[in-house]
Amino acid sequence: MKSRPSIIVILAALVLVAVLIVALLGNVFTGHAVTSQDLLNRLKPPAFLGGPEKYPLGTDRIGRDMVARLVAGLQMSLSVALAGTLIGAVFGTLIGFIAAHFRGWVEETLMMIVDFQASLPFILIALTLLAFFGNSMTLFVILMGLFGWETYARLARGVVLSASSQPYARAVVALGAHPLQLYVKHILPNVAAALIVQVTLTFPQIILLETSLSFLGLGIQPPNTSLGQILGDGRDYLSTAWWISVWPGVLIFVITLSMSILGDALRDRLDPMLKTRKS
Amino acid sequence: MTAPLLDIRNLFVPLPAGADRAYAVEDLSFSLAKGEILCIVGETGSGKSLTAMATMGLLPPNLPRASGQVSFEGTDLLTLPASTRRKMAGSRLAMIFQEPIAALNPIYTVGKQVSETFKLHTDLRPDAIKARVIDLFREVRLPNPEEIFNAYPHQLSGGQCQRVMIASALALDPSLLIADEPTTALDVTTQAQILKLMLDLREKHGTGILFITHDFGVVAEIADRVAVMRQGRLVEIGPAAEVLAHPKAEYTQKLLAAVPKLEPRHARSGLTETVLKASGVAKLFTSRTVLGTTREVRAVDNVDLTIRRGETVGLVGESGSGKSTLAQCVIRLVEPDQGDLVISGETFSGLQGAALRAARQRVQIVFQDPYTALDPRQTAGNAIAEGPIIHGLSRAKAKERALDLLEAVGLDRSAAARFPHEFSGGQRQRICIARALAVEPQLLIADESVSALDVSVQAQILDLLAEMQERLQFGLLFITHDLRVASRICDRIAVMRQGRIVEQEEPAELFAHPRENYTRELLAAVPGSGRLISPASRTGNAGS
Repeated sequence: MKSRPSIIVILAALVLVAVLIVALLGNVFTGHAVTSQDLLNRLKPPAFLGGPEKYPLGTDRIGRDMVARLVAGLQMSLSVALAGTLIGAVFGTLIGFIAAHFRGWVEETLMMIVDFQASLPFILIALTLLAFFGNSMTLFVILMGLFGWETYARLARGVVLSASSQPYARAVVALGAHPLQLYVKHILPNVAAALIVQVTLTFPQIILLETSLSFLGLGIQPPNTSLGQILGDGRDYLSTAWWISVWPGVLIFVITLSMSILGDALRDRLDPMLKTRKS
Repeated sequence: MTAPLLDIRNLFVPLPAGADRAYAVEDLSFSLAKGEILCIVGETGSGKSLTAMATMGLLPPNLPRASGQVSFEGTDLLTLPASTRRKMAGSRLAMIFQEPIAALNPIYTVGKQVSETFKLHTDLRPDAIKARVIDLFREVRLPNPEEIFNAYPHQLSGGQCQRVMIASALALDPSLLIADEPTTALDVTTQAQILKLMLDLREKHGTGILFITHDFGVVAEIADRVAVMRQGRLVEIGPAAEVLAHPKAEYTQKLLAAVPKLEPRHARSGLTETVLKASGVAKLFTSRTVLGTTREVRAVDNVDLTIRRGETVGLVGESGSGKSTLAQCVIRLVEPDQGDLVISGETFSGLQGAALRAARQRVQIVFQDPYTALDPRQTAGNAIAEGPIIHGLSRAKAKERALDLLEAVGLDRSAAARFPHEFSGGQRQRICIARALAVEPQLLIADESVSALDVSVQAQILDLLAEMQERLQFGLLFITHDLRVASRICDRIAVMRQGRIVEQEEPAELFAHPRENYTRELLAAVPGSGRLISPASRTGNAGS
């Protein structure tokens, strides 16, 4: 039985839609370029706390408009997280399918790598790689993609194994279908729900990871900006100009929370493991 | 006899809003006397199980409250407070379920679990309890009761587990025993033993038994009276002999007519061309335990089998006899360790990759459970058309063939656009048959294809298979545990036991002169064999 989503879920969805609109059309709202500095108006508080009218959310240490900065940071954070999530999801799912199809030593090796990654704190891996190879946008996005692929691999392998043992899958094999046809046409649509739920769960984690790395100065580098980087920028001014850190912090919090709430709701609705089997 | 043991008056069990009908059980009234066996018979969704649950106070909590009267020894169970009722459940009335293995806790020994009942309801000392439990185990005829006391459920067979459940139910000598399909999950020989055990217990303790089943064969074996239910309503109730021989209600007549009878037929003549020649097929399953010792099971042991064009060969045997594994080997969903398979003149064993995929056109399979055999996200039409497309037919032609087949299996052409969940179990099985036949196989395997269906649907599907075979002349390997079904439709029956075919004969001959002891045992265990093939019931059914 399908029930109506709760008010909290609806709220979370609305917040995410609003965030998306801001990220897509944000440049229209901002009156200033991201990089334009106004050195006479450095560290000005938001307009409602007595700052200048033209900077509604205040300015940072070199007089850049916080609104413009936040929009740019949001765009960067979201696109990096999106790219990372997609890479991780596709790569991990593929590995999971391969492991489930070949079984035997292929499966064992792949799952060993999965276990290996799962037993290392990812932030350590990230720090090491960034320290060795230096920072580049490409590497950073790939790094985000590496985060969480092992959960997809494990999940995909499990659901594929159980789906392939279903009579419908066996019937398709008996019809003489190529394995690719079986996986793409029959298994994937039937296990997609579980994977989509996983996407909604890793996405906020990747945003947090990106933020942490950028906060540490290892992530997105100036002149580009991201929410985490802005947050890190405000570190030294917390007592005098709190708004530099608080705005991106609030944004990150709201996005990840909404995404998690929505993910939970989706899981309740879609996850075949939680569905009672029709008998 | 004085007041009845159990008296149900105007029982209503409502269903939650949005269900397909308002009441699961509607205005049901019947009574059960001491020492009587009343069978409630009905098809899926008839409300027979919920009646039992309502009596035991085990209705699922998401259902609205039942109304009416369920008086047991004079007290109305529906109005009792939960605590009093709990005390009665287990001591005065007890219940056994369909899946004995699922009803036992796997981490405790069965002795401990049966002892639990005594611990809860009596103040006997532990050693006295153990003695009582062992006595009970002896009474339900478990071998070596002392050893079984310390056994875990997984170490026992299904039949033994059901005996343990019965022992547990009888522990406190209840006056009412409710048995919900207690033998459905068991093999026929085990079923026969359990039924006999229940008759003996009734004799000895005067227990009233409410026995729920879908199988008229079982009814014929043990019932004193029968109640037939349909869609929550009582259709007919009366003495077993009378209802079975002269059913009054039209629905009962229809049900009885659909019950597979033991009607051994003769083989058809004129079958020559061989479609399947399997020789020396063997499959060994090995499993390794934690300690590193290997356990080997010879699932299929050097089996030879031939099937001719247009012929139906039945493969019968109890669970674990290897009949399904043999079928999976023949269609190569399980890789046989040894053996040659030749299907319509061409080798099928040893093929790999693309050659194997192309050869799969020659043999198809229809599974047992129609609910899981269709991709839930594929329309019926696409499911049927998929095979022909794989084997090179154009999309348009495959679609056309799918529509024709839908019609041929008794569905509407418009069904092509619908998804599996929009069909009933029987309709789904029709789609599965159409899907298998769409690639025009020379050999069709039906692996317990009618076992999960209600009897009336079962009869229709069997007719459909026979009709399609008549038209398309494929060889049919029909796997079943039900000798009654096999006796009616097979030209030849192969009896399997422990991976081997022990006897192979045309039904009329096999049933008249079984050579093997095991075959004789199987035949004797067929429920209702004594009564349902009597000429009286046969003529009675012919009219309906």
